[in-house]
Amino acid sequence: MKLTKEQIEYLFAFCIKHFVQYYDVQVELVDHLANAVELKMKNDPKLTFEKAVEQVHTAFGVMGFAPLVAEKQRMAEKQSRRLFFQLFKEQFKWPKILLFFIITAAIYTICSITLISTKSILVAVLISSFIIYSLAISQLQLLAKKSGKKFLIIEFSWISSFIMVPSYFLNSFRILIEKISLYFFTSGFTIFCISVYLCIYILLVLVTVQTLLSIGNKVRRQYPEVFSVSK
Amino acid sequence: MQLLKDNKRMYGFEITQKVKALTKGELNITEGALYPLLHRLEADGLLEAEFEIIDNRTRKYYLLTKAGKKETRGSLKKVQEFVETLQIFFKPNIA
Repeated sequence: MKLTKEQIEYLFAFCIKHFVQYYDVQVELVDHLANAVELKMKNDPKLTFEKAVEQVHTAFGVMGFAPLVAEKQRMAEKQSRRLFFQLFKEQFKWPKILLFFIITAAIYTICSITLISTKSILVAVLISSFIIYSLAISQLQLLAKKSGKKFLIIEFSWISSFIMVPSYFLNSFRILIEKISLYFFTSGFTIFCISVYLCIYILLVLVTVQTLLSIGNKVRRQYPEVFSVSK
Repeated sequence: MQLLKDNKRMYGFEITQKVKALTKGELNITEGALYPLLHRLEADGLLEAEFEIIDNRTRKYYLLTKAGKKETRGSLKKVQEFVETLQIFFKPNIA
């Protein structure tokens, strides 16, 4: 006997009641519970649906679904980090590496004009990257809001790892500007180093945004039922 | 992973049942052990997931990636070598 739509909804509510808030975890659990309940009810036709659900839940052990959710959180972080480094490595392959040289050359040319141009480009890059980064994050949050569900892969993909990237670079520049003399900033070698440094920073921000957008697309592709037109 | 190699794609519950059937109930993979393992393999890029709506619910299927297939071959070879080594200990060929 296959479970009805109402019984499936009961299983989603059961997951929420047992502290599984994320839709991407619930989906797999609900299917597992449904399959196990169907098998139990087939083997014992007198068994009620609710009793069968409780029996299946007991099979998960005393901790219930908690270890599963905790492991999934760690794996979501790992998965997004892996995607990030994969995309970052791609930036240094032909023909994408051309972008690295073009950006570095452009920054070097602008920074060579005056010290003020170095400072201006620094501020411009930091502000624009912060805006782009914020836009990408808000787009992901909007996506989750639109679905009315919470997604573990969205909540744990950027909080822990990616938020550190822009702030790390921002701090490095602040220290450089405070500690090092004016002469240092006008030497050709320093300008070259700043150009490479800024270019890597730009690429990191772009890859971060690319990672966030690709996570968003993945969620939309995997769970089309919660992003239907009626929503 | 060998099961996934033979069946192309499988979902969590199907794996638990298949293991039970193949080992005639000798080996029982619990849900609490199976799903974290599947998620770890997915995060490592050895498995990928496919989603399909079946019987009013979404089903998550796992498939081996290219890296996963390579890893399965390697692991299988290691297990075979280990079994062969064990056989030497248990059935020594006394000349």
